[in-house]
Order: sequence, then C-alpha cells, then structure tokens
Amino acid sequence: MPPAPSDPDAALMLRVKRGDRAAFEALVEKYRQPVMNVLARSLPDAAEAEDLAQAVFVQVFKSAGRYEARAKFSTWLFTIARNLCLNELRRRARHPAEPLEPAGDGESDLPPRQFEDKSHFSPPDALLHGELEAKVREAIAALPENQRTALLLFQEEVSYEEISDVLDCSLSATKSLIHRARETLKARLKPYLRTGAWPEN
Amino acid sequence: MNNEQFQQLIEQSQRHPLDAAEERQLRAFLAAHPERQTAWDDEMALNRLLARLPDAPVPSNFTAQVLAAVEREEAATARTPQPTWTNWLRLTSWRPATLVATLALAGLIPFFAERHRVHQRTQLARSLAAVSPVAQVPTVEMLQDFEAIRRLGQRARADEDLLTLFQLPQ
Repeated sequence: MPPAPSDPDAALMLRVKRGDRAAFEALVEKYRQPVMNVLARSLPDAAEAEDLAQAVFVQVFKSAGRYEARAKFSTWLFTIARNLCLNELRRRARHPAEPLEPAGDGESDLPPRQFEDKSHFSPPDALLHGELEAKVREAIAALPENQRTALLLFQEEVSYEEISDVLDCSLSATKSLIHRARETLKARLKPYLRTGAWPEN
Repeated sequence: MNNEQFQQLIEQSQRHPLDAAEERQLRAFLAAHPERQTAWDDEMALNRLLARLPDAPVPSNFTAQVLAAVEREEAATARTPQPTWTNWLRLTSWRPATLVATLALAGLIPFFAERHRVHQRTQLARSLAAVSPVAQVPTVEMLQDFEAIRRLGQRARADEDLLTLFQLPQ
C-alpha cells in the first residue's frame, strides 16, 4: 500500500490514536452513511447491519493504537467493515436463527433508534418505488460476496485502487469483478431496465 | 472512436455524467454503430437504478451510540483486573511447561532411536558369534585336494559283504 500522507482522514485517525475523541467523532460522522450503505446491502437484516456498523467503528477505535497511515483511512475502514461483514455472514450460515446480540440484555441505557423519515413519494409512486427498490436490493444481495463488495464500494465512490486494496486483489481483477456484477444485475433487472419503471424523484 | 473508447465512456458514465466533448464522441460512435445503442441504454438504465437506490437509514443518534459503545468497552477493560506478576505467571506458566515438554520429547526421540539401533547391532553380533564356530571354512590344503573335498560330505559306506558274513548262521 502506498503512503497516504495527504489523507485528511489519516491525520484525524492519528489524532484518534493519541486519544482525541473529537477526531473519532468526526470520522464516525463522515463515514457512518457509506459504511451503513455497504453493510445494509450486504446483510438481509437492517438492524443487524446497524449493529455491525457500530461494531466497525468500535473496532476502529480499539485498533487506533496499531493504526499506521500507510494507506488511506477509508481503505482501512472498509477492510474492517468487510471482515466483520464476512464474519457475520459466516456466523449466520452456521447459526441462521441467532441474532448478532441478544435483544434487551438490560445493560444498555441507550435511547431507542431514531430514524428520520426520508420518503417523499406519493402513495402509488412509493409502492412502485418500494417494489423496484426491493428487486434491486435482492439482485445485489444475490451477487457473490466479492462482486457485491466491489460494486457497493464503487457505488460509494471508492476508487478502483482502494477497492483492490480492500479486496486484496489486482486492479484488473477489481474492474472485472465490477463488470461481472453489473452484467449480472443487468440480466436480472432486464424487465425493469427497459420499462424505466423507477419514478423521477 | 473505437470499441475500447466506447467501453471507457461506459466506465466514465458510471462515475459521473459525461461532459460535452464525451457526449459528442458518444453520439458519433452510436451513429456509426447503431447496434451498440441498446448496450448503452442498458448501462445508463442500470446507472440510474443504482444511483437512485436510497441510502440505508442511519439513526440520528448513531454517533452517540458508537461513542457510548466505546465508553462501555473502555469501562469493561478498566474493570478487568490487571494481571499481577503471580497471575501472569499462572496465565503463562503452561507455555514454558509445554515448551520444555516438547523439547524433552524432541530430545528423547533420537536417544531412544540410538538405543534401539545399538540393541539391534548387539543382537546381530551375538547371532553371528553363535553361528561362526559351526560354519568353519575348509583350509587351503584341503581345498587343493579335490578328492578329499568331494569326500567331506560323504559317509563311509558300510562293508555289506562283511556284514553278511557276520550274519551267517553260527
């Protein structure tokens, strides 16, 4: 991995390494959405995706002492996210019915999850939108793990080089993974591609 | 514009909308290769589907939850008793013991192998010593006389005529 001295996030992470909570908070604020997007589209359960996203950032904090700014911070972050996600997928494969953490363990005094309602579709549009969204999610979730991760990181505007670092493969292999993922999606979503059923926001 | 450049335009369109110059190149290419129009339309449609996929919902208190989780982790670490030197010895004592046992075993294996080899050689020597007096090699003088050698393994035949005489009625 090439050195990344000019990465502002790496500079923040070096501050986290020295115990700076504000720097850590800034990193969480910046990356919570892309990390959630990748995890929520890889795992079937949104609540588990959220728990895992929290675990990713806790892991970042715990590993801060070992962090070295040799690569971009986001590469390191998404590598942690991918590893935890793979562990979770393997755990689910072994124990399909068990949740990530037992609910209501009595230890947490946190407020319940607070979601902002971002939907602004009229009812018929919302129905159509919801159906199409579900189809796209389903098609993405059915992709092989490495193709799905490559595509999702690409959608989060992560560079090819970074994706290849996260997946630990060559640049050409990364491009090939994304290409194959898109070909599969085009085949699976063909009816929806042609009808243009996705409404304009 | 060739097919490779067309593929590059497809890749660029996945990252950002084409600029005016790229649009012109694309139009020219598609005018010359109308059979690629469908491929282009599919790529654009997939771009739209993926781009309009809404962000996963993130609770507004996500960061607060992460910070609380970090604090819980730190508190748990602080609650865990720090190992004293005796605890440390107890925790790690199995490691040197295992190492010593492994080294001892590794050292004893060649020792027992050597003992076995010596025992086998001793047994072989004893067997040879027991056999050697029985299997005496004939002397050179004896070997020079072929007739003598030939007779070595032969028993003297009984004088049957003489025996017959002895058996005559007395």
